[in-house]
Amino acid sequence: MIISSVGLKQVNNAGDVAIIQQLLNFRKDLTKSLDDIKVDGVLGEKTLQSIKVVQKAYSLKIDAVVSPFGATLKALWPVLFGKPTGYGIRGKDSYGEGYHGASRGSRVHDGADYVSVPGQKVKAPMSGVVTKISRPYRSGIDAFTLSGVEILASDGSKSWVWYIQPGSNIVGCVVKAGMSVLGIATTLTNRYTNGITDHVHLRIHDANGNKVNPATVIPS
Amino acid sequence: MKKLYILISISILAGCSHINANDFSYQGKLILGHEEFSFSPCRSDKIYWVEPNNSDSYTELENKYYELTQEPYEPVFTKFNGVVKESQKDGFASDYDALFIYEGSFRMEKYDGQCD
Repeated sequence: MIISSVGLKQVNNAGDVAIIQQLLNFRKDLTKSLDDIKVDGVLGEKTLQSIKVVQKAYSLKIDAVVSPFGATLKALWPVLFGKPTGYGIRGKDSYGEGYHGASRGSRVHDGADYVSVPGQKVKAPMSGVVTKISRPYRSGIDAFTLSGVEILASDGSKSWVWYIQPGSNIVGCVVKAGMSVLGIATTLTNRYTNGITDHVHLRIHDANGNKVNPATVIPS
Repeated sequence: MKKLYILISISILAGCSHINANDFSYQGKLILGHEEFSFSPCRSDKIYWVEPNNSDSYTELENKYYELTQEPYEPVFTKFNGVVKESQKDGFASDYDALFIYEGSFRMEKYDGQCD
């Protein structure tokens, strides 16, 4: 979620500090006695104080430092999962099926397809930070409308949510599983005209890059 | 002189727009479907993600593919020209060995289990 450490005598990249500031504001359950922190990427006393409060709450070393994939970051923003669309996994239609491991011709489906209604809000399936816009296709009539995002979690896991129109300025935002809106579901019926069930494609990799069956972590 | 005449005649014929089987540089299995557009050349263990060099050629190839197939992800035997390019880092193409950018005309027929 962050590239370099944030805190006392650390690198304190503005982007990383801004992510930690967003996380601390989300964790009012721990920092309720403190004021909201202005998300400006500048490390100040309020940010340092809040980091210490979190470390104390989780009985961690109180050094006001948050390291990439470190214990404080994992405590601050644990890896949680939520439903992206509120619907289940796509069943059989004219173009195949949407479960993890279903045939995709020369390979098997490495994600899971969650049924969607075009225009609906699509929520983050995993807690983390949106690191970039990700596109499933390079060509075709709808290559630019069938877009998506990549999310990086505090333990290094990654997820990709495709077939959405991402919200503006979504890159760099901290997202809460099953709560934060990533964008709007788009339709696949312009590309696949013979009766496909609209859905979002969700792919998850663990911190080592191994594929994870979304159905084993996303609540049913 | 006679040899030169024959050579010129062959050169002129080769320049005609008629396509014969020898005009294609690649042949192999093509699969088109949802989240799949792959080409596996004969006698190769590589699988390429296919991209057209323009949208018209994509539509033409897609129409022919669905004309020949009944089931999702059914392979067809295809001959076409193209170039292999470095694999992509994003999207479905990143799951494949490389990109295959196909150009212009093609020949497609039902796949009978034999690649050559």
